[in-house]
Amino acid sequence: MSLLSVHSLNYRYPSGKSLAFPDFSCNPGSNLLIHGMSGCGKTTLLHLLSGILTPSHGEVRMGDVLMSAMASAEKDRFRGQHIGMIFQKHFFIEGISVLENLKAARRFAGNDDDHAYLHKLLDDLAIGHLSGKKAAQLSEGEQQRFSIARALANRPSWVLADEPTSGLDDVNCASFTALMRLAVEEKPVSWIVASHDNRLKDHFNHVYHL
Amino acid sequence: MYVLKLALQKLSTRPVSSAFSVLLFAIGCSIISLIILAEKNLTRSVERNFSEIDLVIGAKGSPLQLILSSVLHADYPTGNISLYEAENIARNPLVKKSIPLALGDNYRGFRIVGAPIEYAAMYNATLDEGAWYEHTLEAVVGANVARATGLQMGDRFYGVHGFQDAGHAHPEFLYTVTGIMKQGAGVMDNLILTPVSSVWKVHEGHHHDDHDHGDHDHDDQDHDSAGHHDHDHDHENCDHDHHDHDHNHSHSHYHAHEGTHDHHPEQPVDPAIAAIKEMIEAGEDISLEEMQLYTAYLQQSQVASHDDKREITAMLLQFRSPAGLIQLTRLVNESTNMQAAAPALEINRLMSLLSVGFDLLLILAWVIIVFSGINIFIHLWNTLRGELQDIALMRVLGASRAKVFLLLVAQGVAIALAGWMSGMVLSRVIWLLLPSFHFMTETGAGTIYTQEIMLLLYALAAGFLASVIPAWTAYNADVHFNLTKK
Repeated sequence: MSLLSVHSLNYRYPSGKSLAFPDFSCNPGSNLLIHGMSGCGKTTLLHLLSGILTPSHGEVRMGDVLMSAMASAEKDRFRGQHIGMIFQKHFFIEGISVLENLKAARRFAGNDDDHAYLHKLLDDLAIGHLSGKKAAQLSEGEQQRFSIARALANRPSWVLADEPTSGLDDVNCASFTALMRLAVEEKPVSWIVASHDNRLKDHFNHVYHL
Repeated sequence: MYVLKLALQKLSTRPVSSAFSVLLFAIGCSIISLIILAEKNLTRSVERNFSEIDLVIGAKGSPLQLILSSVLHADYPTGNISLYEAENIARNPLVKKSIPLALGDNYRGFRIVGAPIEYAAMYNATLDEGAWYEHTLEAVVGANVARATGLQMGDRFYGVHGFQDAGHAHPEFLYTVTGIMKQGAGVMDNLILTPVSSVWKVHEGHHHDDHDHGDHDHDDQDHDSAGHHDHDHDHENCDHDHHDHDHNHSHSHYHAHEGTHDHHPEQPVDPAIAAIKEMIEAGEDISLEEMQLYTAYLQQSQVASHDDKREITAMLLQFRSPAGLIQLTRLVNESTNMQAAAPALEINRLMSLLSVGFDLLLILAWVIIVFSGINIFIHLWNTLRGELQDIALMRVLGASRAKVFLLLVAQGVAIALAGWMSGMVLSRVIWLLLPSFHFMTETGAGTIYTQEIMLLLYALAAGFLASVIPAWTAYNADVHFNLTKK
């Protein structure tokens, strides 16, 4: 997957308020920090990039794919296969185990269970021993790692993270940035992180101010 | 398919609520299934057991009771009738075949029925082993009887008075098993057949002083044995030979009459009688007066002795033409102290009585199913409200709107399907546990009927309808909103 680019992107909220985003692009393999204060539209931008929201006008391109023009189901499938997402709150499918959650991520993306890969992923993130537990039973730090594992479950080209460190202390924050650099099977993953957390600034080669 | 698997996993995370939903659905389904089983088996039982019998003559009382007791062997008999009087009716030219039945005893709950072997032939009963009885106190047992009691060829047993296992026994009269019938001969499967003479022999010497059949109390099992009315009889005074009964086979047992009127010697005939006879033979209708006249003529002309005190429980009649049914019913009911009842008519009456009950039960069952559907809806709706973020997450992970819709519908349909399956199992367990249904069990409990397949379709539709609103909500859930709400 090659370049991600955004061109004259504009989103109108149901309330009527409209938000325009400057053009930018991000090369494969490079990390981008979208920095800005709360409420400036960081989450909206991430959701536009991932196809959760559809822009009022403008376009989002991932390589040669014009994501903003895709049909709903097609967009869901594309997102599942190529984009991993991490949220400020830790979401998981209730009632099933950590490993089952990762499998769900693979199945919804249209992939088969890849047990070997999923176990290796959990081991790399040091939560391999928790694979049979319910996600709700994990600690805050473990849930953070679980969220990263799920974002990487489909070997995505992009991981979009929304305020991933807002609830973390300095130690866990450092641990997160270290995990970001974790090479998954030597495949380059581009991280696009939206955050107001100044601690992250030093860890990104590109910072985009909103 | 993964969504279906996930739907089941979702249900299993709320085991109590899911199990309750399934149980409620199962109750509704099992009631409907039981009604279907009862109707099916009753109809088959009727078709199988009633097709050959046009009219039953027995002691006065409830006509339905007479039919149930002498055709389905499911109720107590209404009392006894004089063999002589019954034969007078059977001798009517409209009668094609007549079969006397003598009831009274049972062996381990299975009725011992005194009847000519033509009775078994009427049901196309064939022997699995052995031979049909020829002598008094020989017996042929039905397939279910042989299986349940373990009776085998050559075994000897004695009857117990009445139709329940416990009671006054007749150990001095031992029956010998000469044959075992094949399975599938309708009501024959549950009977022990013996010559009518056996029943007479077992009960001979008992007092005959009570010929009043007016008092037919269902609970009084002692009024119903052929040739025997007195409960307080004294066996010590009976002139029985306790030792030679198996050497002393009686050859005088009763045979079915076929077209008896053909064999009567012609006597000097009154022209009026001759005219009536011609009308009958031509199949024309005759008046009641003419019928009575003709019957009186037949009675005068017959050889049987008026002193014959032998009694039977019922006489089954088959007619040459449908006219016989109307005329003989009228004749018996109006000019004898016996009653005539038509199985088809009585069973129709029974079915219409039952169908009111069936209809009420059906309404109840559907109300339960509707409530089960509402319960599924509430279950899914409450779950969904707490899980809209789950749904949003699944969408982010690549699930389309259609898949999350399916996830919810699959849960509703799965509850309905599980409810239906549990209902089918439940109804069959209840069916097998309730012995009162056994007299009409014609097919194995393993059969699933077409109506039950229809019920499955209705059940699935109910499951779908119950889940369609939650599913539609999930389909339309705003992913962005649900992921960002606090």
